[in-house]
Order: sequence, then C-alpha cells, then structure tokens
Amino acid sequence: MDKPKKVSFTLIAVIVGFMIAIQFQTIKKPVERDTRDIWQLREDLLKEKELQSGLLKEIRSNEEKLSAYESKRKQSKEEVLKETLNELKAEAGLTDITGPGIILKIEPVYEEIKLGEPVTATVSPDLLKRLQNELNMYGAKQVSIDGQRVINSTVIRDINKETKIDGHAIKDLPIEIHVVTDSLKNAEKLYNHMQVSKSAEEFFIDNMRLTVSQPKPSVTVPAYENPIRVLNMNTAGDDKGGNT
Amino acid sequence: MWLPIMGMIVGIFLGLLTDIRIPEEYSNYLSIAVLAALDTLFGGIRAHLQNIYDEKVFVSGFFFNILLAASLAFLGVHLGVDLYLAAVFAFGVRLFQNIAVIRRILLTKWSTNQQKTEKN
Amino acid sequence: MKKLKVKGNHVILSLVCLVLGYMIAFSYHLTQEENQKKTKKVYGKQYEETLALRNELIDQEETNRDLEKELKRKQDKVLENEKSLSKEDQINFNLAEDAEKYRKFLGKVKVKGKGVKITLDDGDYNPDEKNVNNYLVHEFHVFKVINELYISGASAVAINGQRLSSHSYIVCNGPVITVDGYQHPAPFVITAIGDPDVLSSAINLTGGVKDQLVNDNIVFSLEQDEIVLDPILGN
Repeated sequence: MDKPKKVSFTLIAVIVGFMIAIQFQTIKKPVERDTRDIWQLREDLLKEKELQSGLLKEIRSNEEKLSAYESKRKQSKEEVLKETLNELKAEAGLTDITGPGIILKIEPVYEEIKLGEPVTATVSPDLLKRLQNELNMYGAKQVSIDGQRVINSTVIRDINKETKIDGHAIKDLPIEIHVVTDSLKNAEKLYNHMQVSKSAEEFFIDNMRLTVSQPKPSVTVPAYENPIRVLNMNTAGDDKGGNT
Repeated sequence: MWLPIMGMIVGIFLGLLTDIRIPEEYSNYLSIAVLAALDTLFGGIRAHLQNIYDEKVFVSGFFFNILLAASLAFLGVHLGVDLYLAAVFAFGVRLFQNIAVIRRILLTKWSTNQQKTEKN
Repeated sequence: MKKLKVKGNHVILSLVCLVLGYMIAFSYHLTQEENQKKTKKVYGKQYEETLALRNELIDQEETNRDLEKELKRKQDKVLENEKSLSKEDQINFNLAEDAEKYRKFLGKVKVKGKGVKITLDDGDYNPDEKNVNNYLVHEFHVFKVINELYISGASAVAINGQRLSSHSYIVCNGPVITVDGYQHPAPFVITAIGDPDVLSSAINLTGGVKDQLVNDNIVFSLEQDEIVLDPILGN
C-alpha cells in the first residue's frame, strides 16, 4: 500500500518543486528589450550618418590612390606612396597643423598670492587630463599643451612633484593650450561649452585661472618633436588567414 | 515521510539548474498553478495523516485544480475581471485549513507519544 | 405533464445560457477593444515615430556596415600595391614600412601583440551601502587604469574592443560609459598591447591602481594574453 502511493506522491512533489523553481526563475530576470527613447534614437541616427560620410570620404581617397597605382608609370606610384606616408605622418602628429580652433591659457591667480611668496602653483596631471578629456568630448581634434603636441601615446604624469608631458616638464605658468578643431563652427561650439564648463572652477580651486580665447580661424599646433616608435605590435592578418 | 519533501527539493533543484523560463505574460498563470499545486499537496498530506488518502483523488485533483486555476485566470484576463482572485481565495483558504489540520494531528500524535513514553 | 416540466426547465436553462453566452462574448469583445485602445491611443503617435526612427537607424547601420566592408577591400588593395612597390627598391621598402608603422600607431589596421586584459566590474550590490556610487565603476576608475597603461609603455589601448586615440574621451552617464560616442555597459574590459610583465607589475604595484580600485569595491582582474585590437571605425 505504501510504496506505490509514496512513489506517486513523491513524483508529484518533484513536479511541484520544479514549477516553483521555474516561477522563481521567470520572475528573477526580465527579458532585455531595446528601450531607447526617441531622443537617444535620433542621436544614434545622427552618429551613424556622420559615420557614413566619414566612410565615404575614406573610400573616395582610397579609390584615388588605387587609380594612381593602376597607372603604369612608376613615378606616380612612388608619389602616391610618399603622399600616403605624409598623410599618415600628419595625422600621427609629426607636422604642424593649422586650423580653426581656440587657445586656452592657464595662469596663476595673482591676487591669491601674497607678496613676496614664490609662485608655486603647478598644474596637476589629473587636472590637465580631465581638461583634455573635456576638450575631446566637444570636438578638439589636435591639441598641444605648453608647446608639446598631444599624440596617441602622450602621457601626462607626475615625476618628482613635477608635471611632465612626454618628458617635457611644465614648470612655469602661464602656459597655453592650443586646440584645433574640424571647422570654425566646431571651434565656436567648443568655445561656448568651455565658457560654461566647470573646469574653470576646478582650476580656481587650485589657485589657477583658466581663460578661453574667442574662436580663431587659424590656430597652430606644433609638431611632435620626438620620433614615434612602435614596439610590440604587429599587423593582424585578415580573417581569411593570410600570412603577413 | 521525508521522501516527498526530498522529492520537492530535488524538483526545485532541477528547476533552478535547467534554467527554463516562461515568457513573462504567462508567469501569472504559472503562479496561480503553483498555488493550486501546493494546496493539493497539503491536502494530500492531510489525507494521509487522517488515513483517508486516496491516490486517485490526489493525482486527479492535482492536475484538475491546476487546470481549473489556470483557466479561471485566463478567462479573467479576457473578460477584464480579475477572476484569478477567486482561485487565490479558494486555494489560500484551503491551504490554511489543511495546514491547521495537519498541525493539530501532529501535535496530538506527539503528545500521545509523549504520554506513552512517560507511562513506560 | 412530465414532458412539459422538463421542457419548461430546459427552456429556462437554455435562455439563461444564451444570456450568459452573450454576456461572455460581449465582455470579451469589450476587453479586447480596451486593450487595443490602451496600447494604441496613449502611445500611438509617438510609437509610430519611434518605430520609423528605429527602422531608419537599422537601415543606416546596415549601409554603414556595407561601406565598411567596401572600405576594407579598397584599403587592402592599396596595401597590396604598396607591398609590391616596396619590393622594387629599398627606398620604397622603407616608405612602405614607415606607412605601416603609422597605420598601426593610429589604429587604422587591426593589430595584435602580447599584452594584458583588465576587467573592471561593479562590486556586488551591497544593500547596506547607502551610496550606490561606492561600488560602481566610474570614468575616473577607467581613466586611472588607462593612464597607468600608457605610462608603462602600452602601444595601443582599447575599452571593450574600442581602440583609443589622442582625441578619445570617456564620459560616465549612469550605468554606462560613453567612449568616443559609443556606449558600453559594465563590465569594462580594457585591453592593451605592450610588454605584459611591465604592464602587469605597474598595475599591481602596492598602493597603485589595483589597490585603489579594490579599495573602491571594484571587482578587478588582470590577465596576460595575446591581444588583438580592431581598427578604429570611420577613420
């Protein structure tokens, strides 16, 4: 009498336990849905459209290069290669760039310094990096700090209480930060943003004043002075498995 | 006696392990089905303790109650009336009653056992 | 007489059933309408606008994907040409080599090399912790790691697969981080190509980045690995 009854009872108990577990699981994790609202979608669409125009430009320039390579004359091929190399060098930061942009100046707050005390205000690397992040956010394309060009590998760090950018020590204030943007309109946008940015307050807390110039149609950033070395990196082959 | 409880724990464990999930719209039905199942389970335990346990009644009641509860909820959704509340009340009340009876029986059993051991 | 009674009963019963059936059907129909109205009216216009936008976005993304493929094809052809030209004489060989170097530097090509992979994740939800910011990853955490990597000589750094450049920026908006305009949720995987030992020891330095992160209840893990970084899009 007991055994078959117990078996069926146990079986039912198993089923009940199973159902409870499923219910628990279902409640726990809701299904992820795309909940972007209309404004986020518009922003994303704008970004994708910009991406498209950037891609089209690149494709066109590559097509021009290809047609030059197609020509039988060796000289034009060499020219294309040289031109490509110069373009790359310019993009990497090895040439002076002039274009629309703004100039920022960081100087000590003279009123705060008592007479006779040496001017000891130095810009901390943190402050500079945050400023750089903010400039990049709003359209800065080429930047130089205190005459030093900022490139992909640039580091701003504190060595022995001195703030150094790529080995160059930032010692004496005031210093200038030159920023070049893509267009005068972007320079104006960047200018407008820096006017209302909190960075000025951050600098003020450290006894420094950050001033932003009006957008100028031609601002120059100097070339990066040292040679660029690339170690440890290799071009990855195509997905098809070509050996390079 | 503990075998069914082990069974339920095994069932829970299996359910958590396999990670099956029901689409959100049906989770409502499942919750009411769980309530019906629990009620039937405790009813079965009570019947067993009162020695009036009938396997057929138990098993058929289990599936039937679940179906009834789910269809009541389904009907309720489509009629725009919260009919599942009726099932909740009914099964909830029965659940409490069954557990009360079980508790009473267990207590009397335990106290008579104590008396027996005292006598001896 | 019996027949009449039964008939009487039956008639009443069927009448009741008829009314009941009608009420059920009517109720059903009403609820259906209500549900439809609810979803359509309140969100109707906005829903359609959003739907149209979403579709446009999907189309645009597809176009961009095709364009990217075409760009890659053209770039590969240019590279082939450069390679064949470089074989012809030493000067061209040097030029081509330099070009490749800058392409790697700028992130125009896919690169690979030994390096490290660092993962940052929000600390487990601590219900006792009143300030939720105390265990979420913020942009300054990511900043610290990236700066330390560059300082220790990383040649290339990427966040969640997105390669960084001199004009990259990181913004923290709530649960996601926006890098160069692209949003990434936690966990954040920072990959860097460089000397794995130098990079690891710099990050693991006592009192350095790792300790600061752990102090902030950030889940941190570092492993040395062969890193592959995709080129920067739209460049």
